[in-house]
Amino acid sequence: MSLTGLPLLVLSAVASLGALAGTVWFWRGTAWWRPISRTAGVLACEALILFTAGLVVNRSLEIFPSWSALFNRHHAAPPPTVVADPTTRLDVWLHARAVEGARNGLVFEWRPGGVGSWHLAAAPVIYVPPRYFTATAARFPVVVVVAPTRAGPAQGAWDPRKINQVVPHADAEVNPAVLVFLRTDHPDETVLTEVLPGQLDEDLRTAARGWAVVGVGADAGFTALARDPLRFWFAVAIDGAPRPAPPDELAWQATLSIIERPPGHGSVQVVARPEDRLPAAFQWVYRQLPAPLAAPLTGPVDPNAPR
Amino acid sequence: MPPNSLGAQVTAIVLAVVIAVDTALVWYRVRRWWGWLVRGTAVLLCVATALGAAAIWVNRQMDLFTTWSEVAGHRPLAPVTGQTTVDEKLPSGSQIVTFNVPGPASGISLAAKAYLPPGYDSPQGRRTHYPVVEALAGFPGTPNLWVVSLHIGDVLDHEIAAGRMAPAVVVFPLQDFDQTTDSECVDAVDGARFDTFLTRDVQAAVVAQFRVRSDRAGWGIMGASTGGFCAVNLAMRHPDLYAAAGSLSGYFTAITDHTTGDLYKGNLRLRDENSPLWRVTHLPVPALPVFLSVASDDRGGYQQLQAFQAAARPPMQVSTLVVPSGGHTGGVWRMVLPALFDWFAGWLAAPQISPVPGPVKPIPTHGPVKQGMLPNCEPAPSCTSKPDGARTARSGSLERTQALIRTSPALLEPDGIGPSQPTNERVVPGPPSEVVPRALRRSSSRERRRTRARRDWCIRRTPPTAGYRRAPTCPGSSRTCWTSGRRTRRSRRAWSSGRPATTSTSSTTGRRSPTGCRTTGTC
Repeated sequence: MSLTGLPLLVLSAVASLGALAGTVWFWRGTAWWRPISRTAGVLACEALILFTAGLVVNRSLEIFPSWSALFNRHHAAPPPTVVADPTTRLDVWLHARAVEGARNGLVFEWRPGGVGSWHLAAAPVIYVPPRYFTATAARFPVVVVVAPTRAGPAQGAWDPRKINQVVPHADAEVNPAVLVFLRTDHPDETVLTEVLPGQLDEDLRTAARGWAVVGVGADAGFTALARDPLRFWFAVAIDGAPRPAPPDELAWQATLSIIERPPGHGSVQVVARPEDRLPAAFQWVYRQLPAPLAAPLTGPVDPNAPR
Repeated sequence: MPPNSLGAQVTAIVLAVVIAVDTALVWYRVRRWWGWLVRGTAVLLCVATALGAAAIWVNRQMDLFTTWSEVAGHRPLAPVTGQTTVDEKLPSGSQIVTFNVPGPASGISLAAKAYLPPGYDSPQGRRTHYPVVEALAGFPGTPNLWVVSLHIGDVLDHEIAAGRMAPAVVVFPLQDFDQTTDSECVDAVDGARFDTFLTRDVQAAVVAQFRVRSDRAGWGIMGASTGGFCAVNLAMRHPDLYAAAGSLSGYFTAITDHTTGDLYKGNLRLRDENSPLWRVTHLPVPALPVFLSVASDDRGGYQQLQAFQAAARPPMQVSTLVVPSGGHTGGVWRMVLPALFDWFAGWLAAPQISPVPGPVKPIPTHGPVKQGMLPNCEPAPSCTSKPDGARTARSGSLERTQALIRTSPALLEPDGIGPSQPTNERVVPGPPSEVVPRALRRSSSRERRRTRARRDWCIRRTPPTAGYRRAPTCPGSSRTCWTSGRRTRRSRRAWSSGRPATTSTSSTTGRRSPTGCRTTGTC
């Protein structure tokens, strides 16, 4: 019988009236058992009337739709959906360099399958932060840096031979992220937003959300925001010319233009010397990124079950 | 024995049985003229004890009142602004604290609770600015829903330890003046401005008193039942303040009933604008990730969730989690909370570690009270000085034992770099903290406590309902205030003479008191 159904309510009301009538009927008398019957009658009337009132309230508010909800027996929830700890293709290779990586992070050339068709001037370079080697269950946000082939520090880009000087010191002081450096004169949007994330997810423990793009002399970042807004949250354009503000529907995704003069657009703009622009971009992006996290629970959890 | 304990429940039941037995025994024993008096009293006692037992059962389900002083109608007293009262320390090192939210924008001042993660007071924690989740209870409800019923401290500790959630501060503000009036977290027309209080004032108070991020990327809001409605509504109305919103068994259409009163005074447009379902179908949708959860046998909530999910469109991101059964109860919320906090962690910016401790920020206090909460010139309570421990005991009326009062760390740190300065902005260190003689500090603290007590008398100026009465108007003001405070002898004299009584004041200079009334004299 449903807790919110009419039959139970009618039954309870009838039982209340019956208890009341019975109590009155058996009230008089001086037999030895009369006090007992009177006490039982009073308690039964109280309980039934309160129960009926509770049913009326519960029927109108639908707080407890079932007996199991009333007695809190609904916690036999399905097991929580937990994604297993990631095992990626580079785990073994990185594990062999864990001592070195845990100290300063690791910079290496990345040669995924099909990289030849990405229209890159050189193989991508990846920086893995030190925390990657200690937080072995965490998935890390990614910052993709795109620069023209010949751009150097004077254009706001980096010197390929001194890339260690560009990467942030990702110790406990800042929020770590995986950095991917790309050199191309013709950024391919499909590669940037689909192919590269797919390959990177297979090779490293990367988060599904909270990525950023830093474009040197190009507006690849804004393009990525538009194509995959769930994955790419932030974009930085390092350029000497003002860039158009992103469309309104992307306004929630923070953008940063690092330029020579403020152009008056809605995005955040920073004026900096060319050689300081890339570190400034990293500094800004790191403030926005989510933390590296283990795979989340995506289902209900039995609060009484040992975890 | 608090009113939400098993002991209180058993005592009430035993009392009801004893009274029933006594009634049965005494009914024919008393045959003189006062027999009817005795019988009538016995019946009344039977009814009272039965209702009492039922009320305690309901209270145990909802944890509305955790002390008997709250049952008696005494409002919880917040610590002095800038100080936090530690309610509970969990084994992991996390803490539940009580603090004050002075509402300079809304004119509302209420106590609030907060969860501080493990390591908050560690050397690294002192340089960290944490993301914040604001959690709103349902109606009727208090922060006890989260802290006592749902054991949210344990849930958060577990998720943080598992690495599924970054350390965060979770804030539990009050969203109603009492347990009989539902504010719906909106700025009522000519009434209390809880929208402003829960957004601007709470954020200002939390940023001032705790080391938290102050930017949108670091703030989320969630709630259960009515609190779920509040969370989604406030986040949609203030997308510049919140990066994500979560609703547990919430609804998405504004309601008005006998508990809310006439919040909108017939302004249907305003009512629509406070309905997330209407907003999502008629107004541009903010880029806001939203987490919605409900039990499928909670028919009303499930229908609302389906309607909202169907109406939502990009750039709003809607994630749903439907539990098979459980109704509209805390059992469902207990199951969903871990997933909800994991979801929040994925959308909020990480804790930010600064090279030096954060800057000293001025704590907002009651300035001139703005529209919606006029200064209430109710005289202050008697000026007899209370022992210092009295305030601590009163603080405990909100919940549990108050173990420790400490100064907000933000006050202890002299200067530093803020959590979200733009890269090209020059960071200006705050002024050096003023050295105040100890005796003067003690005196000032006492005066703040008196101010606090007086402010608690200022309740509202919404249309009077049961229990509220008209208060004397302020000098130079023709507008009317309403209060639920009890009258003292002084206030009765003032009442009868038609002028406000002279209030105690924290200053002898006659400046404006926190209630906005010009005050003179000292206690």
